Amino acid sequence: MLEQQLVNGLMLGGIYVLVAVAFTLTIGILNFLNFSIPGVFMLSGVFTWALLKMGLPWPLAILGALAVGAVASLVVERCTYSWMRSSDHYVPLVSSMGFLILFENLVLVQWGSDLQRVVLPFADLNIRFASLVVSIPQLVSLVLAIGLVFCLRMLLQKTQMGRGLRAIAESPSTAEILGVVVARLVPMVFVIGGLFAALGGMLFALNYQQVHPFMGEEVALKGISAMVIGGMGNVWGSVLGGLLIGVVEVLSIHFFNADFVDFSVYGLLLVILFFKPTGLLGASGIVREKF
Amino acid sequence: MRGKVKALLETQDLEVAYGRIEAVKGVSISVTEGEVVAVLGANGAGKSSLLKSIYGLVAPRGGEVRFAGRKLPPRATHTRIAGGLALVPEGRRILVSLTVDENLRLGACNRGDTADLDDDLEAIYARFSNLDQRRAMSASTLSGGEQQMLAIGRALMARPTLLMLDEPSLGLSPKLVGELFELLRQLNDEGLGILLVEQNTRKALQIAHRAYVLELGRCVAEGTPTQLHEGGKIEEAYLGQDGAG
Repeated sequence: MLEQQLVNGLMLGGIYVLVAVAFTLTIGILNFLNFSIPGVFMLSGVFTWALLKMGLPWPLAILGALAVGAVASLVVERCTYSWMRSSDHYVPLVSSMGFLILFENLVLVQWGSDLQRVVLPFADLNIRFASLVVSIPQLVSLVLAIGLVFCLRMLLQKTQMGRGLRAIAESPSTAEILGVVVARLVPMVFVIGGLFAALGGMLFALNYQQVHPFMGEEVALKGISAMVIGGMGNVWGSVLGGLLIGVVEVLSIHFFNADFVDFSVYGLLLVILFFKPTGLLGASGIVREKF
Repeated sequence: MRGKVKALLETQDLEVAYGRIEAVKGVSISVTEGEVVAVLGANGAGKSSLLKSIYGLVAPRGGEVRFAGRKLPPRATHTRIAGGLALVPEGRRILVSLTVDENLRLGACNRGDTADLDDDLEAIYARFSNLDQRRAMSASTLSGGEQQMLAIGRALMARPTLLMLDEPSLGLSPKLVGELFELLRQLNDEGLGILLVEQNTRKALQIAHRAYVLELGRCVAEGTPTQLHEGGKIEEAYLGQDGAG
């Protein structure tokens, strides 16, 4: 049933949106491709499972998993971006990749490499629209993803902090002249980005009910693709790209089979980049208006 | 000379170096409340470095900066703005991905009290009607002269008691340079102190109460414009340059 697949695709896309926005934030504001984001995604997913298994009530488990993601992201900021800011730009990139591997192996050592089943703390809730079945956790993910992107955009556009972040995005040295406290805002970027990734990982764990140490990598590649398809540095572009990839993925399973997924997703990426190298919503003028 | 003696800004034996290159070699200057002070000198005399170290964009190698009676920390520009010291940087440094309005609001991002922010914004728009018409437009659409007005308006949004300007006349047409200096004179009449780094010596001395002449990182002369002209110090400092601008 095609409509059902479209719904499923959008729900899956919501997770990609969260990961894509996490990437977009650090790239757009700090010009830094933060490779630890899949690690943060995975940590949050695994901790959702682990905390639930410990018998914590689900609201606490969720909050705990998000907190782990935010703290992990802050650790990465302290040890890569802040620490190595004066070095060549690829050094923080490589060290953030080091953190991805570190996070994965810490989880591997602690819990092993097996796929762990997440036992849902609440009964499987579905609602029906005519013949369409929508799972409530999935619907919540999608609404949350788009709602949070909306809030993020309001933050960037309408608040003094957002203006400061956009000033940093355009020119860190001008931002400093204006008295924007760059050293205070950069960790905020990492915490916000980390929370988006962590939310993605937590929702993935609850929706697909399985976690493992390397769950971040596949999702992250699709998240990066979503960001590129939508247009680098454009938050709504990440939303469009994420939803598009989710739908394409589910539809290619529907029409062909699961082996076909990567072919269609990355094929789509190449085709879009071929015709519009800046991405669907990317600016192509001289003045790049981010966000 | 002006009657006020209380120094608003004071540097003592300030030294700035980039690696082994010494740009400022022990410069002491002062600006009192409501005074217009010019720092003159040829290219590479250390004028901009002096301003940058006062503002905290580069850490001085030696000496100290005092503002409103307090010693300023070596870096941290936001402490300057919160205390009432603002900078109009060389090249204006407009943020072109933001609107005119957002540029102005960002100027107030570290001032102590933000209660009257909207009133101040309207006052800036009343002063610069060209900016008023372009509030919601990208700052990239402004002409060079309008960008300079925006840079000054943005610095004023910090409600400074002392405004520092780094080569504000650079790249402006003679007519706009005239308007710029008229504006600075007006701002000073309203009580604002001004520290001006300029290569346009003639214009700068028309509005300055006092001036310092820098040469190769050292202060070689100071005094009122009349004193400097009589001593022939200005011409000396520019020897080998293209005259007194």
